[in-house]
Amino acid sequence: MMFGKQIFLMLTMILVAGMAAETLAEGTISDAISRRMLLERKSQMLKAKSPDSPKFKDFSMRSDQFNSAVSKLIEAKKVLAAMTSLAGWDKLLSEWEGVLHKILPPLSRVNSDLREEKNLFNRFQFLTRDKEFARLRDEFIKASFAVAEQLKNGEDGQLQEQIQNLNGKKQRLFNIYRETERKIKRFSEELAKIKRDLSSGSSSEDREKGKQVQEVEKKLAAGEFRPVEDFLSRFRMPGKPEGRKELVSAGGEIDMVVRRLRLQLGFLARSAPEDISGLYREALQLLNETDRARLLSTLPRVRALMQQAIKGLETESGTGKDRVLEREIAAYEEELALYRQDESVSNRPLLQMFESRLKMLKNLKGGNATQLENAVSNLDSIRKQLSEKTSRTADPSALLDQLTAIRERIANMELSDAQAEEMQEAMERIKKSLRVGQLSLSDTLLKVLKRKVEKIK
Amino acid sequence: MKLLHVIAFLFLTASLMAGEALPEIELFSSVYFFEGGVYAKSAGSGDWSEISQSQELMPGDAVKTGEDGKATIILADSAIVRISPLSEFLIPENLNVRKKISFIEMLRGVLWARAKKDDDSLRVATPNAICGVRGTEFLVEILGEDATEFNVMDGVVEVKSKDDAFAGSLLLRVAEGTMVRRGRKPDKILKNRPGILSGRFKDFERISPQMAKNAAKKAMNDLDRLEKLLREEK
Repeated sequence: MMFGKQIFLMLTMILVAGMAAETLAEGTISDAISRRMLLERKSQMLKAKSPDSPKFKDFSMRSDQFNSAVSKLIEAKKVLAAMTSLAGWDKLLSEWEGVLHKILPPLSRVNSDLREEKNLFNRFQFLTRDKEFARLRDEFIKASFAVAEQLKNGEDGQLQEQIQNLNGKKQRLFNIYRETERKIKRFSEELAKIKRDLSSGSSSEDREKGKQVQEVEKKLAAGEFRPVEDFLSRFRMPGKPEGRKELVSAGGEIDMVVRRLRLQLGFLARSAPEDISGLYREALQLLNETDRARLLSTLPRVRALMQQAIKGLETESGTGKDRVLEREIAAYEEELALYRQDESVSNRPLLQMFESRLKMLKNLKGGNATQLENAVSNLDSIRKQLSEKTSRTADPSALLDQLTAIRERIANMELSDAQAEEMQEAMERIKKSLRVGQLSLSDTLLKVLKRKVEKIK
Repeated sequence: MKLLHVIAFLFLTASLMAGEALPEIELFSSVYFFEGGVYAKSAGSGDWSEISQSQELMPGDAVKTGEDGKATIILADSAIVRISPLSEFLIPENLNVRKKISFIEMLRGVLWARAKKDDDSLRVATPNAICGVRGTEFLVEILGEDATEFNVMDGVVEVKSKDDAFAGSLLLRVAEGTMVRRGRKPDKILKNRPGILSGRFKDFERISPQMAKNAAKKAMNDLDRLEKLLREEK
């Protein structure tokens, strides 16, 4: 009878757990499941791939111990769990959700750190020859185990500290990986270029150099950077089929300057307006030339393109700046009119200051960017103070209601593109002040917008 | 406490039996563009440091912008995220590995995102709301702890309140938006003028004139140097 009751309770537990799982915060359970699967899979992968490596053996052993401990624990407590009253389930599950939130992020972090570390380590195993690297890696793995151990034992008292410790170690370790990655990429590119140049020649000297390059590539793959560096500094090819010569360090500097220039032009192309970015892109294209003589002959064109782009940028920023400034001034004037009507601030020195700074801003039209930025920031600061001094009390909820209402109203109005843009900008200003908690200012700006809407209507 | 762990492990063990294949996941997000004060912090570390161009970011790292900062981050799953001044969010961890869902936790500010087209892989949570994206372009603005505004420029976004009392969700389509408020049912769809919000982010990656001038000047110096070196070599 007792046994039957236990089975009934067990079945009920599974059913209720399933139903409760559905109602828990979206993704929580499946997320937990996915993470646990990943950990398990990683352990299997490590075991399958490098069963002889002591580090991975150690990881696999600990992983097995972890799983077996969990299974034993589950078996031992199953009956106890099944005996828990149904009424307690809701509470238990909601508490469990809290526990999971606490456990999952660090578990995920440890997991992804180890997964990534393993990938990188497989690629750069030669790094273990470096004692400092080997020490760092040992420490990192130990710190990872320490975190996993704490999670296993449910000790979360020092977890945060342990994770910080792990992150610090990881950062140093990963910096070495990244640096190695960059170095290999750079050297590979240079070697490939030398190979390309050599492929067009057929002299015995070329063949000899070709063999040397192959040897150096092997050394690079083995992580022996010194001989690669020595080789590259001795053999730099200018790219001329006839009369190749061993180059001095100037060859290296040319490559470096071209690389830097390409990066700068890439950034400028990405961040410039469309018509101007086309000029930068064309210049970038010209710098793809690998033949040094031809590269030199294209430089005047590159220079002309860059100068054209700079000129275009100046004109564009000038007109754009003035357009924005005009809108800013119009918005400030609307605000000023509102402050003048407000008895609590009218005739106050602050208001006079606002007026005089606005006048200054108007006079700055066409002035330089720094002066304008200073004037606007000055005006903004006075505006904030002014707004705080108004008699209006602002309730955030009421402000949000008003904003929604006015937005609906604007959506139903027939507006020109310019008007719609102006309204949108005004709403952006209101939202910005709401975001930073400047409620009085939001209130003022809302009033300005309402007046604007009334006028258009 | 132990019993709670047991319950957790019951679910975890059940997952092992399922044994589904796991998709490959990219690990890094990277900084595509930034201007002004933009900072990143590793998960678990307390220190913010200035970000650099093309910097790689790990899942769980936090990114924030100062008053003059803005940034574009390419997430590991190829979604693009742009953040405006005074914003903060966490680089997503692929919480649901099987479904490969990226989950952005947004703490404050404004976030524009473009997810992969027709993909259900991105979710954004703010202090009071959560949205699931079904491609592609949308905007999330946190207006204080109790309100978040969502606007859709392209695709469909499903929005719901974090408030347990309001279980239903709202589907937003192109040029639609809504404000989710704490303690209120998110049921009001607000219309936008088509294209007006996309326009706001059209020139997001454009740098200030001064910065552009400085960068161009630097490039010109390098061009001079290159010409000199090539002539010497000749």
